[in-house]
Amino acid sequence: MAEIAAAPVFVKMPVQIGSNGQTAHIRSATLTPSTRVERYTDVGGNDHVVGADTVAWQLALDAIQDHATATGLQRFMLSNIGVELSCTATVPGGSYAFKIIGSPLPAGGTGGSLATGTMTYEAFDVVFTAAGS
Amino acid sequence: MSSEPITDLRAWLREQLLEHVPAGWDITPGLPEKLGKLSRTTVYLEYTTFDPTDLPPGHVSAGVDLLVASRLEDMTKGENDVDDAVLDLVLALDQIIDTHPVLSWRGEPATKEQLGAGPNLCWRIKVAAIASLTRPTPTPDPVPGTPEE
Repeated sequence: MAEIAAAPVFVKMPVQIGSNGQTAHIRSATLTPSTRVERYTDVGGNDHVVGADTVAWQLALDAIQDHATATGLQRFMLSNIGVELSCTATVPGGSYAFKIIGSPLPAGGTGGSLATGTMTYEAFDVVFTAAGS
Repeated sequence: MSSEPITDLRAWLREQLLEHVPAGWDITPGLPEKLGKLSRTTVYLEYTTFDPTDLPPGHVSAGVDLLVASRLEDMTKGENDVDDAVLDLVLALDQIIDTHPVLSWRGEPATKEQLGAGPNLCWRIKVAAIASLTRPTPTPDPVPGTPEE
């Protein structure tokens, strides 16, 4: 059995939403996959476990609130509510291409605190491409 | 990219820094036992923590403090000088971190202090680097009686 060496890294995932890179607006971005397992009992009384062949993805963003930059993330989202947006998230070793439906991020918060907001988007048509392939 | 072996980490960081800091700076792994008069802006690389938390076996997050010191011993001149130097160092680190995801800021503010309680002022910046817990292949001991090259 081969023991596979690992290459751990600190998170570095520049994100492009639409045609612009929005990394400077984003404090944290996470693409989370989830899958489900279906269980059923056949007519013979035998139990079966079947893994679903699709994965559902979500993109969680923690972004700064910047309503002043015309092409910034929040203004872009406000101008593209309900629009299908192509995105790319680049990680060391490859990149994820996916789509989300445009929706704005939160505004406001506790007075005196850094203005940020979090939002979770359904991500679909997610495809990972390894670097150099 | 893969993480550097822990034994080569400071040498690797020094190499990266030399490409990005102003020409003429001195970058030294570790503080000398006795600090002499500095002839140029100097950066010392000091290990401060080793933390395996959250990392897979065989790796550690090494905390490295970078102390950038002014060569000027006059307090006022030295303060202005080291304040300029720290900006150069921050910009250099930003470029290196952008290229190498094994290096990161430690999330602690940089602080200004007197280098080794002496007359030179320095800024202390904290970074973390993921390193692998490997050693270079040891060189076999020479056979006794064999003349050294």
